[in-house]
Amino acid sequence: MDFPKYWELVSYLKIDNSILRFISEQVFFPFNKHFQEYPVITVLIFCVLLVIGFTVFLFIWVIHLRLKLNRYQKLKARKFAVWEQNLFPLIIDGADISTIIKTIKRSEYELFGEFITPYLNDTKGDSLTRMVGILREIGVAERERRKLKHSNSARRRALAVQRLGVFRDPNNIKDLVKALHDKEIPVVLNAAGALLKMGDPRLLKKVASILLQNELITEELFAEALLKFEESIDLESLLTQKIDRYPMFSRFQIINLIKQITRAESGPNLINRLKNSKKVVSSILEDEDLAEELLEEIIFQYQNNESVDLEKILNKKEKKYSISSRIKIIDFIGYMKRVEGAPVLIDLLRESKSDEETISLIKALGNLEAQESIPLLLNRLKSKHPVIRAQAAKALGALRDERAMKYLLRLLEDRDWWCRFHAASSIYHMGEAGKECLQTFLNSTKDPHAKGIIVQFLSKSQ
Amino acid sequence: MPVDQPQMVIRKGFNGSPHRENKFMARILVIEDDDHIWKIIQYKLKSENHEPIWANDGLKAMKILEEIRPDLIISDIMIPYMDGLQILEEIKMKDELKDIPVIMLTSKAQEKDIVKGLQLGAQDYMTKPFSPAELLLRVNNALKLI
Amino acid sequence: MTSIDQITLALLHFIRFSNYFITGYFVFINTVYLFMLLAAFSSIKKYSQHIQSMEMRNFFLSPFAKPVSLIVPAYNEQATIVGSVKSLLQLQYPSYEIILINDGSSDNTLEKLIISFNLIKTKNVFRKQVPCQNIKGIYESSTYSNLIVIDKVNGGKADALNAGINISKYPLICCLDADSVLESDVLIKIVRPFIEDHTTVAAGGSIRIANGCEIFAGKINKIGLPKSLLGKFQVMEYLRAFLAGRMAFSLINGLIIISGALGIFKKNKVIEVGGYHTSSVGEDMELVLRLHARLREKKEPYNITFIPDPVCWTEAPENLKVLGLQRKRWQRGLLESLLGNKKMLFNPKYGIIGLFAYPFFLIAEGLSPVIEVFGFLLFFVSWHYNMVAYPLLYLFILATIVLNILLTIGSIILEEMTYRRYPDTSMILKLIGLSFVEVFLYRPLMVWYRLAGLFQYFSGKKGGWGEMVRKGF
Repeated sequence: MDFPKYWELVSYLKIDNSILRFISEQVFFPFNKHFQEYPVITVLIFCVLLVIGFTVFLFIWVIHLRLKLNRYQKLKARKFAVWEQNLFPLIIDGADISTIIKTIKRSEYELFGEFITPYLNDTKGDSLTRMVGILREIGVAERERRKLKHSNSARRRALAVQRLGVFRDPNNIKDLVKALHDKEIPVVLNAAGALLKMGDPRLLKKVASILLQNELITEELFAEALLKFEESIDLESLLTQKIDRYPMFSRFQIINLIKQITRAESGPNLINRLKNSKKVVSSILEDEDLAEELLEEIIFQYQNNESVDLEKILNKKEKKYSISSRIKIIDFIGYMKRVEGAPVLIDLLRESKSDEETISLIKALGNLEAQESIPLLLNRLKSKHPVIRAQAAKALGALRDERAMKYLLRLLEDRDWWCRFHAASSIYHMGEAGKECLQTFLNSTKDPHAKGIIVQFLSKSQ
Repeated sequence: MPVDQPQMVIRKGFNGSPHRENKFMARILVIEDDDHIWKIIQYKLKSENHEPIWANDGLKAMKILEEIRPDLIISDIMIPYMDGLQILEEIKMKDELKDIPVIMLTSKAQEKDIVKGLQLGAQDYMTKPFSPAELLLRVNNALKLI
Repeated sequence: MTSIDQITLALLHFIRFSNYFITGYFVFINTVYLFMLLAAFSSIKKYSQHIQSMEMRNFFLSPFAKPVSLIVPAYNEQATIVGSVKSLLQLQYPSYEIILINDGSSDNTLEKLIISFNLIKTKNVFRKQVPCQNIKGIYESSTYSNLIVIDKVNGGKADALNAGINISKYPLICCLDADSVLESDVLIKIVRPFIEDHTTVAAGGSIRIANGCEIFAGKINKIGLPKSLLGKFQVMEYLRAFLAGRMAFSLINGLIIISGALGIFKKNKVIEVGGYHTSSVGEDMELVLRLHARLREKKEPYNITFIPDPVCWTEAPENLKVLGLQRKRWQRGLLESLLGNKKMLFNPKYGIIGLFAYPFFLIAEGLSPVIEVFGFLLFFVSWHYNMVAYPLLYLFILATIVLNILLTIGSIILEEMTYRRYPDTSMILKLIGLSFVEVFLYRPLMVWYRLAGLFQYFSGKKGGWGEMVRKGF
């Protein structure tokens, strides 16, 4: 190599500096001998070496990560195969539990948990009981309880709660209820699931009440959580939730009761009758003191003034979340098609003053196909709120009652598009009578929008 | 017991081979994409001397049905490519397949699918989570009726 | 001093200032990106844990799933349209409808659809809630009850999306590209934020490059790297942009761009801001900016979030010409969106968007080609004439080259530590290796295209979409 010429090219880099000289002399003294005049070169070489070293380190690290992963996966596959071999004879044929226990080492408990979780979720009955037996033997419950108490990670706590739920052990209830008040939603939802799996209706009530009060839990999350209750959900436990000051749906029973009494009696007889109804009222409210307080107030009002606003008395201490909580329950009843909840929903619809609640009620009643709600729905067709009109039209379609047809026809000329759509759809789906009705209306109406939507439906039959 | 991979069983003709005596040995097609559920079902059915065949998606299931006629079909609803209800509809339209009893496997929240399945002609249904013992009862029940 | 001397002195001062400015610019931008990368690490881990703890598997079976309208504009897609629709029909979600809009294609897109899906023309009426070109026909499929095809006069992608919005019947709309390949649980994941938080108005998804992957019947069977160098560079770019970039912006509720390949919105909010602007080129970002503006003006609490899971795979251009057209168009769209919402710049009324996200995007992406090119040139010239102090030189090299390489490698490592979707170790190693040359080969190319796009914008060009030859899956 022709040194001088090479240096001429490089002389372009003849940047000098005391720091550079210092580094070059002190750190790279082996090279400094050759490149004394060009300290920048030594630093450049250093940088290049650094880059190469860094890249090599990265490559090695990535390869190491992958190898570690591969090894872990191979181990997993091996252990899972062994465990599978032993699991099925145990859970399906009832073989001895000690065979599989022998194959699980202490360090593999977490891995075993991962292995067995899908099977826990998929089965029930004896098979499930036997699997839980294995977990009990290897002390999972203790460990998960500890994790629940001490772990900082929401995910770990949620996992711990989920695993505890598998045991369906009443001893865990206290810890699980505490977890219901956790600030992270996944933990709360898993705790709800764990408690509900135990199948105790009293727990259902308690869980529901805590979930209803949690503002971070939306209607959908609430309904999903309740689905974990494997038996059929007794509506009573939802309908007697204390959402206002009084249990949610009991107020109507009370209103009806008081109205009955006031219709039958008056004057001092009325006061006496009211006093005597304390036992009945306290059984509705499930609270003696509250019943007494309520009746005293009603009696007091009657003694001073014949006409009493019962609603006002009952509304006195409405809690902030009561409407959203009621909506959660209403939506749930509607989604799960619990027809026995219909009377309560109808009462609520009659009294409701909230638009949001009304919409939920109408949707739910449509889902339930509750025939008794028809008069109320027909009434709502005249509502000022377009969504209420539209949803009422839709619900009437689900109820398939031809009486509604003439009211729905008026909605075909409504200003709102969805009202027209649902009205037309509902009439159309009532059968031949409906189609004829639409055809007649098509000929008589002058509203182009109405004509348009009717044609959309009538052309479908062709 | 080794886990079977979904395979194409190319064997034409009807029911079990004649050399197996004693119990009525049935060929059962299991259409299920969750391999854990398949393993449970496979073990249980094998322990009763039946012959389970696995299809882990709709397309594979239809391919298998072109080759063989199982004695019973257990089918999940949510599976890739073709859902269980579509498969049921297809089966009921084909003469050589329409008499095969079908047990639907559904999840608790899919109520309307259960109704639709029964309307389409499914024999029976089971919800997940399920008990393997209960599954066997339903299987035997369905097989007795053919 | 003569006047020439004065000018020369002024020029020298200017050059000196410019050098400091350009170095500072790169230091600032890349440091911010570095912070975003670090933030992305922790937030992706947190998101993954959240999903695992919620037992996602059961939720798609839930009867309470919010129904979604998929809106898919298509123009001259006859090679792939049937396959795309078939794959959309198989998504795992209890209730959704597919609205495919044929935006006045000149090929056989519509005919193929009519035949494959037994389409029947209906007399459906609709409400024009957002502006769009004339709709010639609305077709419904007799075999698939949730498939609707709209045939309309050509109006561009934004116009087609608006038509879809007009026809859609569900409260959530999910805007897609016709060539996106979606994973089957995409809807479950992307609707989740709306169920958990009722104030969510929009969510964006992470886009990955499908080139090099094995795709069968609308599903990804095997994931691989694109064969071409250009493709590989784009893989790294997308990782950096989506995994490292958007996740971090979404954390501070400063996400101002949601990809047109996968974005989900609350329909009523989109209609409230007037839908997409039909003449816009970068309609996706434009809409999101307007949503931010409107909701902040109304002082309404809202949330726009991002899902980092790789759920959407799209074909990227692997030849220079088409790539160039695409990037120039993106630049024009970016500038149009930003400059169309000038009122937000440094305006505290718009919170973190006005004070940080918007300005940052403007200088880091919008005006960056100009800043970079002229800054670089001046720096190089002044260095040649020994006008640059060496500490500045080293800082400059550090900020431009070293930090850039670190960012690219960092986002690859981020992928490796979170999703690890590339099955072969060699793929990751290749990408890491290429990170060292990316800043010398790919970035200058991108700066060039962006500069061209910027000039096109300011010279008033209304470019077309450019035909991308679909290879078909």
